[in-house]
Amino acid sequence: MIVVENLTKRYGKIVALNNVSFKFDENTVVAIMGENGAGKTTLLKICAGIIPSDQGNVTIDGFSIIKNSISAREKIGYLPEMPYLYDRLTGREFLFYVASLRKLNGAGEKINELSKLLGISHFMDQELGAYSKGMKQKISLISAIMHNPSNLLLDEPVWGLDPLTARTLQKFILDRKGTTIIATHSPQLVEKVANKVYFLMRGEVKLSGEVKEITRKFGGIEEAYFSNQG
Amino acid sequence: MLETYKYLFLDVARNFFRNAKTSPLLYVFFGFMIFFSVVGMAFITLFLIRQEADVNIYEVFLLIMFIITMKSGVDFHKYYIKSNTISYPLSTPVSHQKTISEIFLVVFWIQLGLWAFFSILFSIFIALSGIKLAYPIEYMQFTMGVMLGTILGTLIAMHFFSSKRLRLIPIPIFFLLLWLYREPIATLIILLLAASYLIISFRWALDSYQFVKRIERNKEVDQVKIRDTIKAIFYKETTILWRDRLLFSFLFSAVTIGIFSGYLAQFGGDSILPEGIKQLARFITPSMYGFLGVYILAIYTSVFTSLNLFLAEEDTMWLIRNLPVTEKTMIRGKATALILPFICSIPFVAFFSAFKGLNMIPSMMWFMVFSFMVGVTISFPLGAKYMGKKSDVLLLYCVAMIMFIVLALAMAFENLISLYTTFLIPFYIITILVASISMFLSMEFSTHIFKLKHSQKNII
Repeated sequence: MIVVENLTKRYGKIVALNNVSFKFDENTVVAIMGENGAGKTTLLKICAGIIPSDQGNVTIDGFSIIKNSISAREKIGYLPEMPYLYDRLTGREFLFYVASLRKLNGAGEKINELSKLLGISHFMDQELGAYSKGMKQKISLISAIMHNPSNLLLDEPVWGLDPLTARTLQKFILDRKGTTIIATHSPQLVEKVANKVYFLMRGEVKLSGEVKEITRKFGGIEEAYFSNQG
Repeated sequence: MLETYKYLFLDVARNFFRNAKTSPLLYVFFGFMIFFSVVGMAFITLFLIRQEADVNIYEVFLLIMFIITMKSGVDFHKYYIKSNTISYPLSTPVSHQKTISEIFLVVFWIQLGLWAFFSILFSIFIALSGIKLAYPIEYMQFTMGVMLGTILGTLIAMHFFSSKRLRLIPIPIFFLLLWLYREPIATLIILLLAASYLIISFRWALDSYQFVKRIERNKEVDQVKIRDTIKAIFYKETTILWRDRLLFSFLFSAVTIGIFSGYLAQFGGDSILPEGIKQLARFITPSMYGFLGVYILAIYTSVFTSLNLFLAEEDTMWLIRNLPVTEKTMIRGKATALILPFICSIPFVAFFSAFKGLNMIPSMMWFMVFSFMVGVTISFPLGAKYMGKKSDVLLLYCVAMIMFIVLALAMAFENLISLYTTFLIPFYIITILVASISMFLSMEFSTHIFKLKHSQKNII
């Protein structure tokens, strides 16, 4: 469970998040939608402990991301929007490095299983510098989910993935237990996997609710998005 | 017209001003360093003039050209070969040759701008001391050298990162011609020849952008395993150092610097130093050659590597911040990775001592360990503070300047004590102890800097 309280984040004069609060419950898939620069990625980065907020607090399963950051980070899996990795390591080396830092003894089997599932097993011993965007996305995804985190933060998860892997990922999201937060521009993905959706605009929540309810009210997530944009 | 040139130039300028705005103290510090360096160079020039030293101007020319060649090679690699954004102009209907030539133009103006800034500042200092400067031909030749360095650096970067490295062959020929024919007119002809080769090379330049080596590492699969946290960080950092061929480079530098400074310490550079420098060399004692050798080596193996351990994490901060590893563990893991660069620098002592005798070993070994520790002590907090800032060259320069003062003081103390006693072991132990404590405190300080805090200025 992730609780976000009165979060504010500014980049100079630009307000990325303006005193927003959320409660992302267990066993729910929450989608965050909004135009570019609405604050989706910033919200996920603060929740993952990557950037600090100016005000407010984030707790992950009861642990503050600032005060108890190690305990909080143990319970998070994070997939960034741009999966920058270490170019001179191979995919396998990178994942074992992450597994070592997460103290996941016996992660080898899990890595092999996930790499086969996501169709990257043939490229695991090539240096990451030669990977395509989609291949890097797959490796980042494995690093985010291999420790079975109770909270999964996915920033544009299907961007760059081939249709088969995108479908596999959707199934994975639907089957998993815990909290999943997805920042996305894809109304189709939201309709397929999310229980709840928040529409952000200039750092503020403009609309939120159950996906089914919003679909019924507006006729679809895309329609709700455009009516929200004014 | 010149859209790529305009956008890239604007991007470079804005990045510079944004960095200066977000880290004003650092840039004030850089400013002071540049100012004092130019003053220092002017002072050395005045000293040589007063000593009536016959400085060979062509050797200074070659030195400046060499620095510009390296700088422009790095710039072209950064703005073209490794650039993520250049694919946009390359995908437009504008010819690739034109786009790449515009990137070169940006690199060209950066080098020329630097040359203008430094040479004018230098001339002002010299003029202030009352010496009349009137060397228009030499200044033009130096400027041509800067242009030539920019072209050669660009050509090296372009062809080195391509599938056809044979295209590099004309470059050493240009260097050879420069070495053989030293007249300004010869420089002009070589400049025109190099420019022609560059224009021809623009046709092949896309090869560099598309050149990606898919390296299979099947043989290393057995090495991949779950490790203890610090061991995992150590393994990752040393693997990257090894694959970037930096460890070999450290070893090579240690051997060559050891031979060179050992030779100079023994023979005083009578046979190899340029005539003008020989007069200056009269003031240099053998231990000063050892000092300079260790200093240069420590900048490369200790300072460069320490800073790079942090600055290279610019794009992977998301991972470091997201993993459940304490800042202290991360800093210590990175520090352990410096063991190998240190081991690679040890041959320096062996080669230096081969010229100066075995009695120099304790002194040189002490100074090398001390220098390495000082380098790490100064670099780590700066690396942790400015992680994500693209000022690595300036940072390196700053640390090198601070280190010079600290090491010079340590060496002066050693010389002073050696006037009274030959038993220097206690001095070595005390200084290494002080350096160890300082390094430990520096690690603690770096950990503190590295921690994520509320309302911390966002540098990611």
